[in-house]
Amino acid sequence: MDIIRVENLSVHYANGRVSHCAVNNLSFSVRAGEIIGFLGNNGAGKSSTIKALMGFQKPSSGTAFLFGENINVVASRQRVGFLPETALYSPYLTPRETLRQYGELSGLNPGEITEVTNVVLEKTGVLTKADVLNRTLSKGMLQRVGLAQALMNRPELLILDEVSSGLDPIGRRDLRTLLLAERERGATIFFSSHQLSEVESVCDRILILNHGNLVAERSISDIRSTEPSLEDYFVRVVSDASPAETGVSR
Amino acid sequence: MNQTLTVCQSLIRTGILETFRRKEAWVVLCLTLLLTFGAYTFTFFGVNGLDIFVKDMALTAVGLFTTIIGSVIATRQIPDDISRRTIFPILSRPISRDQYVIARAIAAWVMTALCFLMMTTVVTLLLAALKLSFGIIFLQYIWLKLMSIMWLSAIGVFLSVTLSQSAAFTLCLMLALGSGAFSRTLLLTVGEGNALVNWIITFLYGFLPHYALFDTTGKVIYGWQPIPGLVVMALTVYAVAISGFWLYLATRRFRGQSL
Repeated sequence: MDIIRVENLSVHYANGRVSHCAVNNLSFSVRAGEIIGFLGNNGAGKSSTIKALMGFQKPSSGTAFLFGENINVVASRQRVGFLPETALYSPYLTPRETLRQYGELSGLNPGEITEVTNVVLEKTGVLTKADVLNRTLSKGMLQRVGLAQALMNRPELLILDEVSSGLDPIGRRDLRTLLLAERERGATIFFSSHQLSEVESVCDRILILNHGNLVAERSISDIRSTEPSLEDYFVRVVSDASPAETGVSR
Repeated sequence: MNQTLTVCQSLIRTGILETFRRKEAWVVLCLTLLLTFGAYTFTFFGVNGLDIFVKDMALTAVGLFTTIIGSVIATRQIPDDISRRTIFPILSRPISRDQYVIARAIAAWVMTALCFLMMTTVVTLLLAALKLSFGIIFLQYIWLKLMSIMWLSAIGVFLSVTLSQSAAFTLCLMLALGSGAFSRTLLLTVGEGNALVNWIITFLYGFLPHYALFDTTGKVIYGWQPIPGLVVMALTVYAVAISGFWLYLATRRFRGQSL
């Protein structure tokens, strides 16, 4: 079953009379249990695609489905955990209070919230800072709080935007371990990142976006067998692709 | 409906924590107490018969600070979520945008109401200590103030999804503090023009906010008899209807917005 299905998705931003195409006729799908790396330069359209998937940005055309349900249906997000790019969680709440709020918003009962909060705080390495105000936390620690809130509803699909942003080397190693553990649990993971080594070490497949177009879709094992490294492959694909190119390298 | 209540409950709880940890509520409380006690200190210099002056100062401070803090709270709820990007994890839950807007408005109402009740309680206790008290109409004053805060929260949330945060706050405050002047000016012009002009004025009178209608400060200070129950009921219905109208507009506006 396709957990994510995107069909001819386009996203345009209007700035006065000028319209800018952020995502152009994008189609792809993600199967259950996969870990997908969503790559591209800054401004390639990754965040716009993710925003459209989550219903934050209305697509100009095309559509997408989560668990077979149209993204316009609120219930399609029931089993999704989402991490936005660099969110600043309320400076006047503690990580524990923040997680409680997201647990309540996910429809968990108080008993479940207490139980899950302790588990995700432990998993994300925030337990020691669970009861201090968010405003005293470092950027990396806030990113961990973000990861923790995404895990609160034991999601079957994790959508993570710039997941390693702000994380130090130990944080990135912990993140890799966490992502693999989530996959073991049965979750499907779709994430964008600029950390290619991290993508290479955990992903099954990558999608590369350039100027809003999908320019490559390949499995990591395939890239490993034919390319010197993911970084070399990424640079070559992005350099080769002209802004108007829509062909997909497989 | 149950889900909307759950969302409201969660946003209210965290909103209250934030409001008190930001210390704004404590600041306005201290200012109110200072103003009230400051007015009373004139009696130390032999000035007598200041009961009405002290009561006026106390209720004016409570009313003004409630309007200011209510405008601040209502107009920052959604813009804060957007600027901190916490709106994304909230709306990534199975929550509709309508539910979110309604919950934010109710949360703003409850938080402002709590600040108002806290100020009212402390001021009443202070006045009691100074051997000053209000009549039974004071209870109607509290109820109508709560209704006006509902209106303030709804219009504040509507403005915050329509304008920038600072513009929304300024306009919200202007509409609240200037509503009495608007109403009086409009009423003066009724009957001065032709039928069309009169119709427009009547429409504007119905459409524009009437925050001042809910203010019974003067009646409380001068110890008037309670307002007829029917009037209080009519004002309550008006507050609910007009708040619902502004909230409807806010949800319509927010539904299609790109975040």
